[in-house]
Amino acid sequence: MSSFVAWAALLLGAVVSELIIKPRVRGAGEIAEGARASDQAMVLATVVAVAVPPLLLALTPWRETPAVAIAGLVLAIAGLVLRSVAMVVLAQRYQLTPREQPDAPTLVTRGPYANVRHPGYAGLVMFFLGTAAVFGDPGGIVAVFPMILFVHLRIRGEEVLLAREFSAEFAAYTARVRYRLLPRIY
Amino acid sequence: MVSIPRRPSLPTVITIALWLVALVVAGVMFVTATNLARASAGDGVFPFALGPVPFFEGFSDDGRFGVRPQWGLLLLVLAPPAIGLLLLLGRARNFARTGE
Repeated sequence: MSSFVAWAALLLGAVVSELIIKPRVRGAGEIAEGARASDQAMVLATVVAVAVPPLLLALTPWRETPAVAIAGLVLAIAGLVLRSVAMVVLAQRYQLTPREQPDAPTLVTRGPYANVRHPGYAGLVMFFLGTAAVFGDPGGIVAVFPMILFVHLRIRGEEVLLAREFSAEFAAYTARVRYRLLPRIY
Repeated sequence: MVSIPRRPSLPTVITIALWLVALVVAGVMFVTATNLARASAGDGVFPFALGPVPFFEGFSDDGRFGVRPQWGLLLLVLAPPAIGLLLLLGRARNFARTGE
């Protein structure tokens, strides 16, 4: 029961943070077909990541492990904080759908962007891994794998856009900040 | 956490349609399993499966009855988005390569 309360509170926290730190609405800027597909895939992957862990608990309630649940709670909160900080630091560059942004021509490299190139996605993955683990069943973490795959594809697409927009500056940034999500790993 | 696309693509529409079908199928199976458990004369379990896949298990125990979900329900929830994600994978990979 307490795991359901924690799960619901985390999801509520995520929704509230997304509503508070809204992206700047822009009329201009072409959105590529692939970017739209990526958005839709992320929505489906999010549904899987949210729906499967509680369902797994309903199917196999005996597998709850308190240590995994506590680690999950800590990871989810850390992910939520990291994503919120990344969104705030991005400021005008923060958009939900990847596209070139000629009206905000600044490459953001400060704050968490000085450590990894995509801290917002790192926070997102941490949040959903943690949320899945809150139920104490490590099996629920498998539900986040589709999201990790599509985050990987989205990051590569975004980097193509950033390289197009900032060319030399982005090349220097990738040379300086070598990892996308997790220092020394990816 | 992710943007809600304004114009859903065909894979998303297919996924939503499949989810609605799955919801109806699951609802019918749940009601059937409940009725089996309620109508039983004595204690026992009443598995409700399609082929080898169990979806629900009705039970009757000392006058009480209920329904437990089985792993087939997970398939019912996961199959629609899995199909949708597979259909979107090509375009997402193209975006990863070209940004288009």
